[in-house]
Amino acid sequence: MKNHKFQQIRVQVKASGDSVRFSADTDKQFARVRGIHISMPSEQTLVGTTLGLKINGQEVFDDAHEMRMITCGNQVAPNNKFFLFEEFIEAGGSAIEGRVTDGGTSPAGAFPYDAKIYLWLVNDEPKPKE
Amino acid sequence: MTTKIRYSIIRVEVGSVGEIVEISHKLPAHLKVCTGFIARHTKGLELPIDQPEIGLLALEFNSRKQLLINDVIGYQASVQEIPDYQKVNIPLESGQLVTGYFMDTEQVDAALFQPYLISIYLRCEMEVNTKVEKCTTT
Repeated sequence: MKNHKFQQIRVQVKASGDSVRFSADTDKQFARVRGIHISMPSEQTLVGTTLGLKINGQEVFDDAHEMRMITCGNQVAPNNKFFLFEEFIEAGGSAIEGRVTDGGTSPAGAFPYDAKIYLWLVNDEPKPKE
Repeated sequence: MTTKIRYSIIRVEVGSVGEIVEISHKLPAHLKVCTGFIARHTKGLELPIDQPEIGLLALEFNSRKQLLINDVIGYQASVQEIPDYQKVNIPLESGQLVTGYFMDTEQVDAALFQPYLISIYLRCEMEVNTKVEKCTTT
């Protein structure tokens, strides 16, 4: 039984300023979402770009949350690249809903691009009591 | 289980050299305590190197009752580590304002000035958690 998985969600942004809704489900074999990392094709596409995220119907980030505040550069060690959630975020097949909104600062040649969202799923901790 | 952490985001637009921008932001009434704070330049400037200071920030809570945050805002030319929240423990009165100012201290000629955006993130909780560390700001 594996205890860790990086689940990737790709969101394609086709034009400057686009706002793209996405949905997915977390892997059923993992209990919680430990963290999130976002990989963008260039730093310029990161500027002003926002990510809204709900997991299992619970708000994690509202639609105005800038990606820059939850991600980092390449010089960071792999496991430290993730923004770790302080709360218990249930995985186990939870519905993921989100919205990526382009910051509008990238040149026309940058489009389309894929925003890759990585969720760090784990089985290492029991669900806390209510 | 419901999530209790909410991020309240305040955006400050700076449009001219030395500008002082007043901040007045109403927090949602369901937020009970502010447990974290971070402020960053997020859009506008495109400088080749980091700058330790582009402006000064002061924030008051509960409709000007407490001046609890003073910060020097710098500029990062590239994305480095994940921003680390300053831990605070500020009880919030229902529906009160966060006020204050941001003052541009970037020393550039007016002709070279680029308008920019500062984002202030307040990590707030909908319940008071007794385990939260004491406020370390002044």
